[in-house]
Amino acid sequence: MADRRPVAGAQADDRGAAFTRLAEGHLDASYRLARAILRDPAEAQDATHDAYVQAWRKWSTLRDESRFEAWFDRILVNICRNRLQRSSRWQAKDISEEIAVASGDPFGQAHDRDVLGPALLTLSAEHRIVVALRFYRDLAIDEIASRLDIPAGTVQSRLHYALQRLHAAIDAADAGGTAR
Amino acid sequence: MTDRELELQLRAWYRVEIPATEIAPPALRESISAIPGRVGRPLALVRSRRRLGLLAAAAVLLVILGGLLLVGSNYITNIVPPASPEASSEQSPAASALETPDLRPRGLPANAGMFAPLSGVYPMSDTVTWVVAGTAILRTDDAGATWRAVQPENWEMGWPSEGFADADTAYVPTGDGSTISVTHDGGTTWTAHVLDGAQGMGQPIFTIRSSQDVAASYVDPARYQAPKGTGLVVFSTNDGGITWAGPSRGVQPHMDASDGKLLPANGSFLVETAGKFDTKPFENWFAASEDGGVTYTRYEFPTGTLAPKNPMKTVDAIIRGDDGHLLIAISVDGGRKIIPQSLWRNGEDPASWQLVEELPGSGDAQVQFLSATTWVLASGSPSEILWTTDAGAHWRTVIPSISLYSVQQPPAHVHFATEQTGWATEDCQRAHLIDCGSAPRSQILFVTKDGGATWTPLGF
Repeated sequence: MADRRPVAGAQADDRGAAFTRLAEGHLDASYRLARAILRDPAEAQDATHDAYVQAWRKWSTLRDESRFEAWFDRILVNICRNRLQRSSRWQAKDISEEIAVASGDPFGQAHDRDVLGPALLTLSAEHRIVVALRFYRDLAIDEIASRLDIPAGTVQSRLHYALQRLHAAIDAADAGGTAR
Repeated sequence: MTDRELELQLRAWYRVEIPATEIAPPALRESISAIPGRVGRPLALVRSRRRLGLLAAAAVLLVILGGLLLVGSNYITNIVPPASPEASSEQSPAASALETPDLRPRGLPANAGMFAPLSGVYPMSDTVTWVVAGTAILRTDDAGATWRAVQPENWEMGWPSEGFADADTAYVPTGDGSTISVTHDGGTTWTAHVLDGAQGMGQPIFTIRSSQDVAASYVDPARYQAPKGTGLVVFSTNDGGITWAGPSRGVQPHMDASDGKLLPANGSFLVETAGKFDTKPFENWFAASEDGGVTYTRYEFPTGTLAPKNPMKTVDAIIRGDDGHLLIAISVDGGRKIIPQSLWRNGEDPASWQLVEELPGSGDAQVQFLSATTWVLASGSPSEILWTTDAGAHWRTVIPSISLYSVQQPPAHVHFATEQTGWATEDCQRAHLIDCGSAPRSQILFVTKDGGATWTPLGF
C-alpha cells in the first residue's frame, strides 16, 4: 500500500527550517505581546500557539523574511482579538470588586499600578490591542496602523477613547465606585 | 491625571507586569518547534476515496476513550445530593413511564463544581450523557442543562470500572466490587447481583458488546503474575444482567515492557500493547479480547512507512466492521520524527493488514470510531476536529471555539456521542475561566452541539 504522506523534500525542509528559526527567534516577544493584550498567561500561551500554527499555514504568503515580525504580529493580534471577543461572550466579569480592593490601597504608585490592571480589563478588544501596541510594544501610530491594517487616524481615535475610558475607570476607583 | 501621566503609568505598568525577561513556557516552545512537522496540510481536506472492501455502514459502537482521570478527594459532598433511597434498591424496571411516577432525584442545574473530581464522561446520545464524578454518578437528559445523581447504593468512585452501555443501561460495581448493580431505566432503579467467586478481587472491567451482552473481568490476585501473563476471572451475561455465567478463567498475555494492568475496554475490546525499553526493540504485536479476557488473539502490528517496526505503537481505536474485519487506528511514537496516525484493516489472515487511510491531523489526535464509517479526530496542534462519514473518502475540518491544544493535555479528552454532540474535559485553570472557586485544578466540562465548532462550559 502506498504511503500517502506529503513529500518531505529538500524545499519543504528548508521552509520548515526557516519557519522554525524565525518562530523561535520571535517566540518570547510574541508571547509577551499576547500577555500584554490578553493578560492571562495560559490564554497568551494558547493564542501564541494558534498564531504560529496559522503562520505556518500561511507561510507561502510571506515574501520577505525581514518582514516576519510585522507579518506575524498581525496574525497574533487577530487571534488575540478573537479570543477577547469570544471570552467576553462567556465571561461576563464584574470587576467592581477588584477595582474597589485596589482603590483601598493607601500607597501612591502601587495604587496606580493596582488600579491600572483592572482598568485595562474594562477596555474593548480593539482598545486593548492599540494600547498594548502603543504603550507596551512602543510602536509608532503608523506602525500600529500597518499592523492592524487600519488608517492611522483610526488608531489615534482608538487610543484617544481608550485613554478616556481608562481615566474614567481610574476616577471611579478613586471615588470608590465602578466604571461601567 | 493628565493623558501624559497616564501614558507613563501605562508604560510602567507593562514593564512591571510583563518584564522583558519573561520568556515563553518550554512546552509552548517545544510545540511551536514541531509545527512544521505536524501541520503539513491545507485546511480543507478532500481526499480521494480508497476502497474499504466490504466495510458497510451500520455498526454503531461508541469508543470509550480515556477515563483514566485523576481521582481526588470529595469536593462536592454538599453539591450533589445522593440518589433518592427509593430509587436505589432492588426494584424492577418501570413497566410504563406513563403509569409510573418519576422516582428520579431532582435534576439540578449544571454547576461547575459538581463534576470535580471527574473520573469519566460517557456520552450516549444527543441528550443523554453519564458522568462519573467524586461522590456521584451524574446523568443529564438535556445535553448538560440539568443533572441528576443516579448512583446505586454502596457505590464509591474508584478505578474507572463503570460500564455504560447506552442511554438507559449501566453496569456498576458496588460494595467490594463483587456485586454488580444494573439499571435499564437510566438510573431510576437498580438491581443488584452478587457474583459468587468474585469476592476479594477488587473492581471489575466491563466489556460491553450490547446492552444485554456484557462481561465483567477481574484480575485474579492469586495469579497476578502468572508465568504467561495476568490471570483473569470473567463473568458474563447475555440477558442484561439478570443471570451471570462464570467464572471463566483467562490470561492476559505477558509483555516484557508492560505492567500487566487490565485497562478499561476500548469499545468492545480489551487491548494490550507493550511499552518499550530504550535498549530493546518494540514488541511489535498487540493482544485483543472480545470476550472479556477469556481468550485473547495475538495480532502483529502492521509494518510500513507509517508503522515502522521498532518504535512504540498504540492502538488508539478498534472496531469490528459488519463484514467481520477489524479496523484499527494506530499511533506511533517516532520520537522527534512525527509519524502520522494511520488506519488499517485486517484481511482473511488476521495477521495481515491493509492500509486504509493515513489519518490527517497532527499525529497525536484522539481517534474515535462512531461507526465503521464515521470517524472523528480531535487534534490539539493544530486545534481542529476532523470528521469523515464515508470511511475517510472525504474529510471535513471544524475549527473549535476553544483551543484543543490545552483541552488535549492529559487527562483531558474529547468524546462525541453523535455527529453533533460531544464533550470535552479540561482542568478549570487551563480553561481560563474567571472563577474556578476553591478548586482551580478541578475538571470542568464543555459541550458542543454543532459537531465541535462551538463549545460551551457547563456551570459558568
